[in-house]
Amino acid sequence: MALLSEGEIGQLVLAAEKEIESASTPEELSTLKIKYVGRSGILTLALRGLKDISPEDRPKVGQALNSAKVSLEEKIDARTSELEAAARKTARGFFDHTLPGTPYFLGHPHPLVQVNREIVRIFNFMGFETATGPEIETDYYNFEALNFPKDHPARDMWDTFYLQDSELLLRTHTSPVQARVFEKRKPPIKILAPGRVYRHEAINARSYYTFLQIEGFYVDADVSFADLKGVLHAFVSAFYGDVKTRFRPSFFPFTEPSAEMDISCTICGGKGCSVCKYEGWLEILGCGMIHPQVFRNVGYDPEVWRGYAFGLGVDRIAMQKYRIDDIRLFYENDLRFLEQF
Amino acid sequence: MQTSYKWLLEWVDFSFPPQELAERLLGIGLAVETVEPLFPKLDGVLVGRVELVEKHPEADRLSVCTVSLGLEKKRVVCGAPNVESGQKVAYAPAGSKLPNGAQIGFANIRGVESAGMICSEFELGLGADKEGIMVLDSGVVGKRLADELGLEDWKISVELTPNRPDCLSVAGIAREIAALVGGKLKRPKISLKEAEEPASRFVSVETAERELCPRYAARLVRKLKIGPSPFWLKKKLIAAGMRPINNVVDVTNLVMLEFGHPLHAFDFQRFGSQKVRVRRAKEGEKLVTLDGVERSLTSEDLLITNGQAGTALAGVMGGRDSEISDGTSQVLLEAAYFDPRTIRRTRKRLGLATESAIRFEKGTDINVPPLALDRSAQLLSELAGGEVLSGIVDAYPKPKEPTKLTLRPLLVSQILGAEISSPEVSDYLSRLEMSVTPGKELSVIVPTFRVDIKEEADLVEEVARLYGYDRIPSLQRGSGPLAPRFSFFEAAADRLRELLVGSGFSEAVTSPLGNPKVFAKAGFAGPYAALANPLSEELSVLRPTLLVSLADVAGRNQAGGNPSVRMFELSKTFRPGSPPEEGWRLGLVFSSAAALHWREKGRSADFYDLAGILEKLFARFLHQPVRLTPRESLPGFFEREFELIAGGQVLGLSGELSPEWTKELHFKKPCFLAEIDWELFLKLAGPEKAYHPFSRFPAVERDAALVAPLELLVSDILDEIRNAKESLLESFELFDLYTGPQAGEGKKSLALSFRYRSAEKTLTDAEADAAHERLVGRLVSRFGLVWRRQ
Ligand SMILES: [Zn+2]
Repeated sequence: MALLSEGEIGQLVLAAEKEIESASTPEELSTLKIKYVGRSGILTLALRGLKDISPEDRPKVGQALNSAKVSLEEKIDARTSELEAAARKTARGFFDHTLPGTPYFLGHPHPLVQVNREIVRIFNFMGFETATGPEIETDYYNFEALNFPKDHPARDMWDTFYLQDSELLLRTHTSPVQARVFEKRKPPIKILAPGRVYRHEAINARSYYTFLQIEGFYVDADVSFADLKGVLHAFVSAFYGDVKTRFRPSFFPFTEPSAEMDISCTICGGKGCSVCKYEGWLEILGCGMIHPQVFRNVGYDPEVWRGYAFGLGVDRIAMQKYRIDDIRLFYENDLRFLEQF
Repeated sequence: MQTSYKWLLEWVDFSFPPQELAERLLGIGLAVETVEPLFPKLDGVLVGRVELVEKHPEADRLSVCTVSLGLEKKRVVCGAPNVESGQKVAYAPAGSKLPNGAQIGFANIRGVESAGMICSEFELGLGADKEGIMVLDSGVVGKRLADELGLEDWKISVELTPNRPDCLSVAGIAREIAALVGGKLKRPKISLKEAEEPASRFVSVETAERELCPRYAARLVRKLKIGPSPFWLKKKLIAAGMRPINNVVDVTNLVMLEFGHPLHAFDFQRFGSQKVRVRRAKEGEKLVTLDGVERSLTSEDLLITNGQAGTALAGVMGGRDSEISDGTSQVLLEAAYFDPRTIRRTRKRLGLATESAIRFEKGTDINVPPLALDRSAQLLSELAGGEVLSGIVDAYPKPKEPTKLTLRPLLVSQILGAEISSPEVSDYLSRLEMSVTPGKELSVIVPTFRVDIKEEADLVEEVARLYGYDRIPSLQRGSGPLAPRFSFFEAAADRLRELLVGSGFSEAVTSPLGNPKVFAKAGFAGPYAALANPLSEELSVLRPTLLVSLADVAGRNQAGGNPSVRMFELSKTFRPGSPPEEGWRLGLVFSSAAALHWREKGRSADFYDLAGILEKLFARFLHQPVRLTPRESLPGFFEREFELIAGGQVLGLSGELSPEWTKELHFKKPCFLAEIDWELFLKLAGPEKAYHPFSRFPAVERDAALVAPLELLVSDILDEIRNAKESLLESFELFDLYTGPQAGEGKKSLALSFRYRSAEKTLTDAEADAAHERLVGRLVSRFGLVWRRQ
């Protein structure tokens, strides 16, 4: 192969570029690659012949040959990728990226359990420990220990299911856990008792014969109604955010003083709507200072210990939260309902 | 309790409008449920005087009346039989509108022009009487009827807690208002004219049951004339939601509403003797009550008798034989105190929640009977022309002293967490008609109408109510234990929910009560924890299993258009006993059609889908495999039934729903179920396992194709691999199973993949091969398998 001058190199590159451009398959390009930059390609051989060039021309020609080789190699590779991509595209055909994706099955937690857990966790973080009790209870724990004497009208506040052939009943509230815990432990005691309770009530959109309740109580040497308000305010702001509260006197045999706590309606903000029956307030829970008689019943000295207690209905709170107007939906378990939570 | 705004104003001075009254009462614990107008608006209706009544020339039954409105006179045709000249009447002029929607105009009635109309009580919405026109006993002619009769009033309905029977009266609610405003109760003035003759000459009173009837007081009124009550009285009864009957009955009801103490009026001529004797009823004794029902009594019931026969069921309902009738002229008025528990038991047993019973059972004021009798007697003489015999016949051997309590003002502040001074405390109690003697400890005398106040804590609540709950500060001072203590049970349940929800199972909460017949039919045999007073047979026992209700819910979902149903429930099941058993169970239900998806043209759910979730569950919580052992199942709920075994214990059962139940519960696809004793399961769970180090050297994979007898359980082979404890074996998988003809008659072909890895070095092929030979060789010789090498 004859030696090339700088000009001849330039012409060679131009010719090669033309050939690269007009190649239409990767195979043709591969042939071109061999022809120019392969082991015995034109440019490879020319580089090998540099030693025959005069020393003063050698650097210039060498540099020109090298850059021509690099440039042609790049051009061939780029053109090869282009042609290969085009070929892949043709081979793949039409691709519809909008087809529905692979279905992953996800279940849904039950809204009652979800709300229950949410509330329990808030109180757990305020130092309340979870305790439980049986759903089949004795008259003593459900009523007598809680200062409901036999034949007392206060028992009418909760219609009760009784068990056949025994003195047992289905607990009407989670408050029996109070007496059960007090009998076993000494203050300070700070307990949360979530659980299922039962009421002998007809089934309709607003009432069901069973629901979840959460009882909380705290007994210590220096506990006041102001502490009760404090803990409930903390709960309300964690669970509802920025709402107003209202405490009004009420009656439970096992608390004295007793109160009901309402919050400003979360739907209308207190202006009045169908959820709050146009009153602007939602009833949330009953509470109070534990009655000294309850302490006497379990052998605590009411002169030494004081405590508060509160109880809230999870079903009602979940209904308010999700604006559910029929309590039966919770127990029907229609997946079209559950899948919304 | 229901009363009216204006009625309360008669008893106490206050200046706030009805809606504000409701809010103020709510603030001290009397929950006002509704405040609504007592009567419909009667804008155009006026008081008129009938000046002249003439016969209608064309109709016998009609009269033509001239009605004076003061300056004006109107001619009105009237059909009422009771219209008379001189009467004051309610006149609706032409252009006015009655509550029933009737538009009054000019009418020509059989040739006589009639301007407007004279109205009946019923037409005005003021009562039930539609027989004749309403005759007014007061009112200025020509003025608005609504103003003259005080009709613009509000019905106030208060929902009372059972501790406040004193507020089942106008006096009680008025007292609360008086305490709110710091005012005094205005009691009606009683000026009673008595005849010379003492009542004790005609009647004596004796109570054989001093405990059950510690007081029985009576008055006699004679020469009275039964008739309708005046409108002012009817109006009050209507406001309280009661129906006016006649002057005598209405007076006893009015006084009950005023003072909260029930009274009973006997027709004394029909009483049967001159002696009232209170005793327990005899077992099986009969009494026909006012409602005409013959009651069979027990010795728990208290009876008012004439010495022989019963005349009233004490405190609950009077007897029919001595009922007030149109011919009654002598009345024995009873005001007694009956034991609340006795009244409650009788009331509940007979289902007679009368106004009287609900007051007695909550506790009445034993010291109010003389006042109630005097007030009634006075009204009877005024309204029925009765002559009141002198004196009260009163059997009250041991007068009740008011309760005396001490209250430490400091304790009030400690319990409430609010600074309330001793004089303030005294002031609040005094407003509630308590007498307070100041000192370091206050001594407080509680009036007998406050039957709910028994100890110091009760007084604290009274102070708090009047101080205002909303004024008590809210204190957040981090008292008591502060660190959260999470229960292991709740944490495990949370992890369970995460796992199952993430695996496509939705959580159900189904009915804990069920039908014993359905449980029995499904093979969950009794005994069941059964209710004595169920709502219905379908809800008469506590469930012994979650599976029946869970399958029911799943079936409804599938029938309702959800082809794929995967659900779980974590709830309690129950069995009777002493004590009864109740424990947490986890129920799973699974039934699905093949996915309707362009890529997943797969299969519908089968047994192995259930097995898969169980394996996951046991691996996640117990770190050990679950073994499903077939169990003979009776024909019933399951077609194929398996016990779930781990750690050598039966932890639950699972299986496929039988075709009968699949049909019964409306499933369209096979249904698979499992139930796990969650408490037993968690006992095996133990604490979280420690971290297990793993090898960073490369692994070598080897497969083995084995031909096995068809009936060899795959679990036997897999267990054998585990039991071999091959130290280089990291994991293995059954990746293919073939049972067709090419496997041979009675054979199946299994393909297993093994992964070998050393903890110390990179394995050579030879080392991996040696381990593989050892392991597969062991299987081949143990079970007589054929190892098909390529
Ligand atoms: Zn609202």
